[in-house]
Amino acid sequence: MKNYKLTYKWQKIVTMVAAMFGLGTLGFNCAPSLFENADYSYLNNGATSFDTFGDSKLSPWVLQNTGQVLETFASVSGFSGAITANQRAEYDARTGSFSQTDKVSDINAPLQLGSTSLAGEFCSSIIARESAAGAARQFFNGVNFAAAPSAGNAGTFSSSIVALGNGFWGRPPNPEEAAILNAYYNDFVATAGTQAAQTRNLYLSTCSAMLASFDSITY
Amino acid sequence: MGKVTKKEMPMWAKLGHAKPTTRREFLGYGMIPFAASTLFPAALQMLFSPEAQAAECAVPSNTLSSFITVNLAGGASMSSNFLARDANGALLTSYTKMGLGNNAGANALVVDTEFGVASFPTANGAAISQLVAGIRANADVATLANTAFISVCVQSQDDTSANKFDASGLVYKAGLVGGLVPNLGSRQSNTGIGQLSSLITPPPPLIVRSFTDIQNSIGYTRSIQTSLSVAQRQKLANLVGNLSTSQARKLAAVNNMAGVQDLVACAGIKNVELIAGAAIDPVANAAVATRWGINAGTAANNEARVFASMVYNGLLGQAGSINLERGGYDYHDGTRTNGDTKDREAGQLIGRILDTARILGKKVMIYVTSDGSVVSNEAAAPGAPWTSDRGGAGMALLFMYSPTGRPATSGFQIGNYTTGQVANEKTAVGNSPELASQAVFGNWCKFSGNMAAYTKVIPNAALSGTILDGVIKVA
Repeated sequence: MKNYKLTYKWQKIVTMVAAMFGLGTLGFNCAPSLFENADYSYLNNGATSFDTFGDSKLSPWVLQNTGQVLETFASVSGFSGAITANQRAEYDARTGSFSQTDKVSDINAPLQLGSTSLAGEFCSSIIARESAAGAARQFFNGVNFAAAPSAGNAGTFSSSIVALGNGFWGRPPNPEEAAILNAYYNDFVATAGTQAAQTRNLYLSTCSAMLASFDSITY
Repeated sequence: MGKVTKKEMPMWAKLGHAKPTTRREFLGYGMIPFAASTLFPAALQMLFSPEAQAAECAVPSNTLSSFITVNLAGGASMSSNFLARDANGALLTSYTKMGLGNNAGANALVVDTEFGVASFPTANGAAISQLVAGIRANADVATLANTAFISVCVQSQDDTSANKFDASGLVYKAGLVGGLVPNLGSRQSNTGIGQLSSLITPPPPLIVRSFTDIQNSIGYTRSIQTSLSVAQRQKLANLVGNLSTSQARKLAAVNNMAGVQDLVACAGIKNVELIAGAAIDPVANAAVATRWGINAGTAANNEARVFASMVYNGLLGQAGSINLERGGYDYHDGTRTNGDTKDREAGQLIGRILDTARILGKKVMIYVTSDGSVVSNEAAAPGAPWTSDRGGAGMALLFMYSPTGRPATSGFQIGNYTTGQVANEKTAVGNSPELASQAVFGNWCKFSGNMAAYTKVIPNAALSGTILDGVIKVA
C-alpha cells in the first residue's frame, strides 16, 4: 500500500511537470520553432578556447575579483574598515580594469597597472602612518624618510621587504624575489640616491610592487 | 547549472569554507601557495628578466581589418531596415509582420540603393529605414561610396544575452590584438556585450564606461603618478612584471595553466611600454572630434565620448576588437516612434564609426547584432507599430569600409527569408547565431586578405568547402 501511494504520488508529479512543460511550450510565443534544437556539439572542433586555461575549476590559484582586491589591500595594510577617500577614489577609477571572475587568465596589462596604482594609495597611507612621530612601525622599521636613499643601507631595505612579504604574501620573499627587489633597490639608489625625497619614493614603489604582484592578487 | 564535481570545485570550496574575501581569510585557510624556488638568477638579469622577454606575447597586426561589433540589446528590427529576400533573391510577396506592409498596389515598396545595394525600403519618397537615414546623416558621401554591406538572415532568441553572436574570440585568435590595450567592451561580461562568444571565448575585455577607464588603463594615477618620474614608473612596472612572472612560474606545473605564465609576463612587458605615454584621446583629432560632437569639455562618461574613444583606439590598432552596446532595443511598445528613434540612433553610431575610419584612413568591419527582433500589427500599409518579440525575423548586418574603395562583394545577403517572413532555418546559418558569427568571421578574414586564418582558427569548421563558399560574400 505504501508503495502504491508512492507510485501514485510520483504519477501526479510527472503529470504536473508534463502539463507545466506543455503550457510553457505553448507560451513560448516569441521564439521560433525548433530554435536551438539542432545539435551543435560538432562545432567543438579543435578551436582553442581561452576557457581551457586559467579556469578556476582547473587551477589551485584563483584571481581575486574587483571587491576582493580592495578588501585584501585594505586588510593587509591595516586600513580595513577605514578606507580613505583617495583609496576609494582610486578603486572606483580602476574597477573597469579589474576582473569580474576568478580566472587567473584575466590578468592583463590594465589589471596589473590598476592593481599597482591602487596599491600605491595603500602604500602611501602606510608610509604616512609609519612616518608619523612616535608611530609604531610594522613595515618600515629603521627607515629614515627624511634622509636620501644612499644614506640608508641595504640591510634596512632587506628588513622592510621581509616585513612587506610577511604582511602581503604571508611569507618572506624567496631568494629569487629578494634578488629582484635588491636589484631594483641598487638601481634606484644609483640613479636617485642623493635626493632626500626619493627615500619615500623607493619604499612607495617597492611596497606597491609587492602588494600588486601575482601572489598578492591571487589566492 | 549542472552539478559540480569535487574535482571541479575550487580549493576553498573543497576545504568546506565560504569563498574567502579578505587576505586574513586566505591566510587563515592556508591557501596562499608557498612559491619557494631554488633558482637564483643574477641580479642584473632579473632587473630585465630574460624570461619575461622570452614570453610569447601577442603582436599587433598591421594588415588585419579593425573589427567593431555594435550590439543593439533587446531585439532590434534590423529586418525592417533592410528588405530581406527569398532564396531566389526576390523580394518577399509580403512584409506585413515586419512593419513594411503587403508590398502591393499603393503599398508597393520602392527600393532605395545605398552601399551599392538596392534593398533598402522607402515609401512616399522617404526612407523607411531609419538606420540608413542615421548613417547618411553621420557619414560623408565619400564614406558611403567606399562602404559595402551584407545582411545575415539568422533567427535568434529574444531578450537574452545567451545568443552566441560574438566573434571577438575568433578574431583575436586570428591575430587582431591591441597595441596598447586589450579588447574593449561596454558590459561586464566575457565578451563585453550581451552576447556569448562563438567557439572561442575572447580574452577579458577592458570594460569602458568612461573615457578615463581607457586613460587609467595605460598608466598610473594619484600617488604613484605624482610621486614618481616617468623613468621610475617604467621601472616600477618592470618590477611588478618581474615579481609576478617569477611568482606565476609555479603555474607551469598545473595542467592547462602554463599559458597564464605568458599572460602575466606579457602584461608586465606591455606596462613598461604603456608608461612611456600614448595618444588615446579622439579629441586630439579635430575631424574625429567634430564627427562625434565631442570636445575636451565633454563629460568623460558621455556616450559619444566613450564610444568615440573606443572606436578611435580600435581603428588605430591600439585596442583589439571593440564591442559596443546600446540598450533600449526591446522597443515593441505599440508604436513605431520609439523604434524608429532607436534605429536612427543606431545608424548615427554606425555612420560615425564608418566616417571615423575614413578620417583615419583605416579599414573596418562593423558587425551589428541583437537578440531577437520584433513583430508588427499585420497591416497593408508600411509603418505599423511594433507589438511583440519575434526572433524568427532576426538579422545581423555587416558594414565594411575601405579607404581604397568600396570592397567588392559577390552578394549582399547570407541566407534568406521565407514567405512566412522569417529567416530560413534550412540555410547554413539560418537558425544558429553561432554559425552566423563564424560566417561573419570568414568574411572578416577575406576582407583582411587572410582567408588562411579561417581554417587556422577553426581547423574543422562546420562551415567549410562549398558551404563556406556560399556564406563568404566578400569577393
